[in-house]
Amino acid sequence: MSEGLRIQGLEVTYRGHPPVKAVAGVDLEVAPGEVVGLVGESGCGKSTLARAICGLVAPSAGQITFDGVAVRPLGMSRRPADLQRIQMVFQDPYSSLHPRRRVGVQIGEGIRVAHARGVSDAGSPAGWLQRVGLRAADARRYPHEFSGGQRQRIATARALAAQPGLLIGDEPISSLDASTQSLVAALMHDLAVAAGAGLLFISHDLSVVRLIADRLVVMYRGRVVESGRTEQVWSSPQHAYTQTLLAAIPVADGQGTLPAAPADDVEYSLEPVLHASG
Amino acid sequence: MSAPVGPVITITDLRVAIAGTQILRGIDLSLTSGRIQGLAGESGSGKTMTGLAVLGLLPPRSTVSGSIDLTGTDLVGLTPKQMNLIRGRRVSMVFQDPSTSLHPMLSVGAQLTDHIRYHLKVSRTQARGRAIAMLASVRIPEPEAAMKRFPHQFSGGQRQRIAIAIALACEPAILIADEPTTALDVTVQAGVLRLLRALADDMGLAVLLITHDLGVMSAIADDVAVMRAGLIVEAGPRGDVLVTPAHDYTRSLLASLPGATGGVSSLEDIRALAEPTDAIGGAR
Repeated sequence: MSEGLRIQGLEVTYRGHPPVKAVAGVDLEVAPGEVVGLVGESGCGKSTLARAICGLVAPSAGQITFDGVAVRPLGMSRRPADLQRIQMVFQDPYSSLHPRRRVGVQIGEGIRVAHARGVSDAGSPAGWLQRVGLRAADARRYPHEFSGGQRQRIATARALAAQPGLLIGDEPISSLDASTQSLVAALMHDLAVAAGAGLLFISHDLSVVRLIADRLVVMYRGRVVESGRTEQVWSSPQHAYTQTLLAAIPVADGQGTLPAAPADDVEYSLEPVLHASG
Repeated sequence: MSAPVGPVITITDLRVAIAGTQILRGIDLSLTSGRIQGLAGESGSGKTMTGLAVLGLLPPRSTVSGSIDLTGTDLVGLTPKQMNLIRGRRVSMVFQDPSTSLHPMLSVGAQLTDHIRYHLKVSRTQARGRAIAMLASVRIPEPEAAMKRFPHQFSGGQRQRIAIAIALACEPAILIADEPTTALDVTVQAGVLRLLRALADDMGLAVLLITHDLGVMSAIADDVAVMRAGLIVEAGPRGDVLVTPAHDYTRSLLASLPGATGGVSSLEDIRALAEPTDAIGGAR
């Protein structure tokens, strides 16, 4: 029953002239309680993959199953209850929270989703706010009264209140200040693992992702080019693209080291490097 | 690196209030030829406003006091007409997002030659030649063909290089770069950072680099000033500020950063961090 997320041969094609294959054959698994970091540059298909897992875009080939249930693309009706166990935290907390509803009410919607599935003890908005490091009294306030980091905590609380089996963060920290980024990432990690949920954490910022992920998956041009245990990929990347990505990260060491820039128009091999243990 | 000949611009006790709210509360900063001065800080600290104040681009209803001395001219209190002669000619700016700072429906050539002709009073042909040379200097492939193309036909990194070419076309002494790489991927960012460093080293450009990313700061800035709530809380050479910070705020910024000296290196480190940042955000 709880086998987590399984993706096989997923392809997503956007219509156009010519059609764009945003995801071009991806296999991916996220086990319950496992934290997977998905990294890659803009346009590599990582957000499209996240949206396909939620049913927000329809795949053109391949299967996505969650705990054995096939994920169906979202139509005009409400998501089926078993798929509401996949919850998402979006990049921009300014647009993903309703500006004119109190945050307690919005977290309450997550709780209602859990109740509808028959979860008896789904907690209260005040309780969830405390779990994400805010005050119970904040339930009566509106999103604009919070800072970006606090809003992202509220979005996390709302997603977790639905008692998901899989939490997806699509660039959840990239619109936050640097000092808040690692805090919010660690919070999502801790709460998801404590709830026994899998976490698929998508980001282009490898330096934060590697601190929270058990496993790293690197995407390039719609494909997975490297995946493995985080330490393994971080300390000895095998794929040329991963090596480039790591070398380009500027480090705040005060030494004035210029990060290595890849030569223009380099094409990397699409042959994946999959570490055995990953 | 070209020999420093004293500051090209000196900001003294700059104070800005917008509609009664104090945004900058006394900024002192100077820029020198060939050096990159970094300005770090979190959102809302006033670092962008400092850059906009130098260019006279502050929003309406703002009041400015203090002085911005550009080799003898005080930019505070200049009329819009006088400012137009300086903006783009002696002080230029590069913004965060090249997909919005470039005009989507004008060719790159049109955007590059317009201000060259206004400021330098040269012929169409001369302006065109200069524009092509600028595109080549920021390493845009096939600069002549690129003149006819439109911003959407370039990648994000190339667009930012074009924005830099536009900013530098009239040979300003000062470039203000406001989060120039924040919207770019790390691999593209590396190229733009190298370009900025080379411009300072080779052309003797004075750069004010505004960014919240201390990694970027560490890579190319010579001096770093850290802002918080409209004040500079710490300033000095890059090595001092980023390795042995004197101010608690700088220390807390670095402590939350993976890879920085004394920064977080594991999940336990993050959990052990106090949470001072949200309190600051709330107290804004």
